[in-house]
Amino acid sequence: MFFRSISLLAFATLFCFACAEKNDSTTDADQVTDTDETSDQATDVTNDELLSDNDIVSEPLAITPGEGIGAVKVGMTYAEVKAAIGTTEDVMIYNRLAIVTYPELALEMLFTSPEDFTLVDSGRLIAVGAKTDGQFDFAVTHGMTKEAALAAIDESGEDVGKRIYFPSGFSLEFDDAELVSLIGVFKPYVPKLEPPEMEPCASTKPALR
Amino acid sequence: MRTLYTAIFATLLLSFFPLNAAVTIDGEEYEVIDPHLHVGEFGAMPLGGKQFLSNFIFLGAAYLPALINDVSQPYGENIGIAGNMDIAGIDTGFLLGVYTRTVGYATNSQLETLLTDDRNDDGNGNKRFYGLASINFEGYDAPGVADTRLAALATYFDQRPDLFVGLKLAHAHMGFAFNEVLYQNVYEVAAEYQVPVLLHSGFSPFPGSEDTPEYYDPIYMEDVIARYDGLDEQGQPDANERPVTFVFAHVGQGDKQAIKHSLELAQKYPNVYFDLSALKRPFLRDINGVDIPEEDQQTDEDYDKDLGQIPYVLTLIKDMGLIDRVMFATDGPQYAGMLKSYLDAMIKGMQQVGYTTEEMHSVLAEKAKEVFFGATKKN
Repeated sequence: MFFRSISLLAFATLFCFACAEKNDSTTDADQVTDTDETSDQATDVTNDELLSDNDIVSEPLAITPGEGIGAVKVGMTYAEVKAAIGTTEDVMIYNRLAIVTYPELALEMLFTSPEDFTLVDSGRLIAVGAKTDGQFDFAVTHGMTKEAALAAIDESGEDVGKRIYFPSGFSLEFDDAELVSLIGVFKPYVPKLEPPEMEPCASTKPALR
Repeated sequence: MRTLYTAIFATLLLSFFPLNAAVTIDGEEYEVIDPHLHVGEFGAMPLGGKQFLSNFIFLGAAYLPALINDVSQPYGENIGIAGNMDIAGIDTGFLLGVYTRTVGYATNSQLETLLTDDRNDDGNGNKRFYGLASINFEGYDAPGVADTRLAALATYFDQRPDLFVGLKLAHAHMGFAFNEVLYQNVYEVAAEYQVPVLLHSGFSPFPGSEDTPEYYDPIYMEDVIARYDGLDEQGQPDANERPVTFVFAHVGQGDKQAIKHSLELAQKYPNVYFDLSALKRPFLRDINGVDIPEEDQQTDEDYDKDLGQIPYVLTLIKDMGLIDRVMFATDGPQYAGMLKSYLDAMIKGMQQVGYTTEEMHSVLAEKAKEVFFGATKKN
């Protein structure tokens, strides 16, 4: 029954659980970790180095499909992201998948981590999203209609209703009014809807040593 | 000669299987094998599948390509299949080749590349992953196509018996019924190379999946099962036969009648086994095969709100004396942490129904080893 299934709902539920735990003083630290204090200390980046609101509005962050947003590039480690834009306390992780938010920059990031419930410095950024209320430089802007957004882009995407995925490495998410509410960036992918003709096995079993 | 070679190979495999069990239940360590793991990539998934997944995830759905591409690769960093197995404590996994209309494809060649990757060897010859090859049935009735593909399929079992330990089919996803004769010559390949066949059974929620019983109820396979049961007309083992073991994934889940049919087939035939994946879902059809209204599915008397169909199916299996025909599996990886979540549910279900320590060892690892690495020759 492949990927899918109701179990995915469980994933969402688990994330809800993680979100709920974040504000709960009784949280079991072994299960849900908000921040990795140890790794914060290790990167020589302090909260003082966070950009101020004035800095943020003066420099729109360029959205580059397949690469990243501003100084944040897909493929960076968590340490590298912190070195680039500072730290945040808004970290939620469950089963090696972490959502990290920088509210001042209107950025949302998706990391994977080698630790089940801690986002460590070697955690890997696999996607970054531009949320509303930020300053971004891109052909599509938040609040655009789907029609206007598609007219602004010279690429056909895969429209699944509330979202459109573009193979060059970005997505558009729409709110209930069908206006752009989130622009996601990730590595490019190649649509390959038809399998190639079956090939015979190319290798042979090694001789026993 | 082939039988002798296979027996030696199976013995070697069983002897050198890595025993690094990471699952401990009530002080007892258990090795765990997951013989039902899908590899894939976002780009190879049909639009309907992408839509289905996108609608189910409400957090991170904008990044679905990144999530799928990381989770569905065996060696994907941190949350790849191996990482998910580490989270759960699963020792060994079987990766599946598939050619479907619903969830895309993972070719046998792709699988071969993944299985021969240096990362699949711990340096002592121990593998983390084995593979089940599949066949593409699209355009299968065109002149010459069937012979070419069957020949290509056979090469995986002929040349890499150390990696490819079975055949995978998914009728409801591939769009052909259990009783369609056109496709049944594929079982001859399984018979020739003495590899088990893992088949999808039961409902799939994926768009485009066939949902009429002839596509998912194993009762429609009975002729084929009987043809390859390895028994003569008196019900005695026939040395001239080439038996095939059929492992029905999901035990016909979702339809109580299909579940009943599945287990009755196992009572009747020695070559019928099951994997216990994808059972954490509600029942959609009752014991008479009649649709259960959506508003009644969560309150069905046989449905467990935490474990879905698991207690119901495990109880039937125990009551019908079929524990030695079943093996754990997840149908993962799906998402980070799914393998652990499903393994935990299965363990809880077995404890709830009263499976013994020995029976749990069998379900979690020993039966899969027996079926895929040797016992098929005993039928």
